[in-house]
Amino acid sequence: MDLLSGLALGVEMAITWEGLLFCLIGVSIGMFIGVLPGIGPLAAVAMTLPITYHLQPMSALIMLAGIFYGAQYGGSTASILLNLPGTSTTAVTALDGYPMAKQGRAGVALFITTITSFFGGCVAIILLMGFAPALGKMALSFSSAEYFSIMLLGLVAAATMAIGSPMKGIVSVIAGLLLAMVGMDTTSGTVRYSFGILELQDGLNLVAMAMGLFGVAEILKNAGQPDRPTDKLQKVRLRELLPTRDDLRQTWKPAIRGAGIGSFIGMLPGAGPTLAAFLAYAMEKRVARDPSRFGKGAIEGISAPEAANNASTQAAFIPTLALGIPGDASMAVLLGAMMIHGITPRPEFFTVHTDLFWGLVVSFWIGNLMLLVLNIPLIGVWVRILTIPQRLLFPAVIFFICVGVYSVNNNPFDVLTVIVFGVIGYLMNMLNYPTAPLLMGFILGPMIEQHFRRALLFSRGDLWTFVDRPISAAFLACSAGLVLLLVLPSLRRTASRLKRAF
Amino acid sequence: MKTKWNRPELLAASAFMATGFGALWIARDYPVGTVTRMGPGFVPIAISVLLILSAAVVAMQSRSLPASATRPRLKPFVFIIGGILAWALLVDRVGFVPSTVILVLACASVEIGSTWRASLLLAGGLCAAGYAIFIRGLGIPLSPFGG
Repeated sequence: MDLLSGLALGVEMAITWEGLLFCLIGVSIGMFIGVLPGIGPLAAVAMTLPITYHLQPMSALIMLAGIFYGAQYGGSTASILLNLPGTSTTAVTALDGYPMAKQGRAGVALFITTITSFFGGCVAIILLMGFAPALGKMALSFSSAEYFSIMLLGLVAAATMAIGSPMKGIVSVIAGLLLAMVGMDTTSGTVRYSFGILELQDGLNLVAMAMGLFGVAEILKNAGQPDRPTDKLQKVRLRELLPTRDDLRQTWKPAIRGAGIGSFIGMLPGAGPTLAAFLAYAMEKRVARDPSRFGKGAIEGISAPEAANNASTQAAFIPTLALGIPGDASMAVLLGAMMIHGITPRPEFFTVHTDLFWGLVVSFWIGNLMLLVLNIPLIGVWVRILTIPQRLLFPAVIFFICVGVYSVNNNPFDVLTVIVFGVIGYLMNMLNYPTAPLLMGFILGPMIEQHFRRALLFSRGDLWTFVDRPISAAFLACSAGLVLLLVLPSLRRTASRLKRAF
Repeated sequence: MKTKWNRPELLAASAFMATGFGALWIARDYPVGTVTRMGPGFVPIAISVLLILSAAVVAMQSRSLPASATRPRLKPFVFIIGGILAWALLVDRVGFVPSTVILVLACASVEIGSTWRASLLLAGGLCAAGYAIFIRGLGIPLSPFGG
């Protein structure tokens, strides 16, 4: 199917009352969650997952996807106005966005971040339209060996590219794989690690786990802390949004570079928008003629990372939809949501679900346009959301987590699962273990085991099958390279310390 | 040279290692099979071993790390976890409304500047919203009062 007829089909799928409505709901929730510091898009998607069970798959996907990219737009608002990142992906934006706000240029900063986010999104959607079907076609020739190796790369990348200690990321991803073993083994029918609990025979509940790790754990961390200092909030008037000609001139090149970095990072399995934004910022600092301006309100310091994080969010759909391998933890949750709706993203996705793919693509265009409209004229509304006090917000979020999780299986057991993972997530955050790789491991676990076993069945137990196939070997080499790159320095340190000790 | 162990870091790594050993112990009952035809025990055992090894590396590294963990704040932790636990255990027995009121009051009580009046109003609003969306809208089988 060529591009134009694909787009036509997508228009037919996405531009319906239902499609438009759920796109609007999705991006609005995303914006809302993005603006509020302390609640990330993962928690928002986990909270809305139960509702999507009652929707058609198309509307469900449009809405969930909208939450992800909507949050990228919203996150910069708190970064700029309060120096508090609304989501982790916009932490870099605060570096130059907040100084701009202090100089009375908050409006310009908000305008620029919106425009560059839109630009980054557009670039990545075009890449998605071009690459995903081709990649999907190529992947039709993949066997289990290739799938195993790609997933392994995804897991290794998720573990080692998380911000913080790569070794802790690896521990986290392996713990996630172990959690994925709970429940029935699909090949033999044996029930593993159920501890005799009936509810565990189907495995741990993804929604409950995600809400515990990302919703409850975040709230436990922030509860009882003083509210955001909202008295510092400035009123942003429409007039102040307009950038000068100089601002625009300084914006477009960094935005292009940012969109490029973001799209590339997004396409890599396992690497997410946070990394993309950091890299884009670092790159701007390197190419700038006067790097000392950064951190003092340099406009390139907001336009590049903002283009990058939104581009990365959109580009992450390429491996997710074409190969069924999530680009980051958010995509992993989306993948989980698709599987709940009976859609397995894999190469056949394009032949079996052509309509869904193109519908989703068209909804991305619509959603990004909606966000542009939602952001610029309505900026005052979003700024006011920042003044909602925690004493109203947090109990409400916890309540929706409880009912939402309950409604998945109509069973209080899942709420108990939330508690367990809330505590685990809280402790992991406290000790700087990244929690997103845990979720990646959990979601990919069953698939990776299945492909591993199947690959060895076909090769009659010959482990070389993973290396004999060139594509599989390439992915394995990438994984090994990543591990070496990140583990070697710390190994060397340990070795020299041991030498000193004896 | 004597290095001081970073106790919280070491504890966390040990917890992961203990999880690995526990999983290994349970997996002894699952047939391992052969490499060609793996039984249900093969992959769990492999993952458990990897978990133990990687956690051991983190434990070794933790010696050099400065104390990083912030002290956990007990009150919010107890009230929020307690509130959710109460909701999970009570919702089937005393109904949706009473358990939600308990949950909201428990969670609101740890926040600065919360008042009984505002918290009760919030609880009332959430009960109404939850009833409309989840019980009427999505038809989850919970009754507002009683089991």
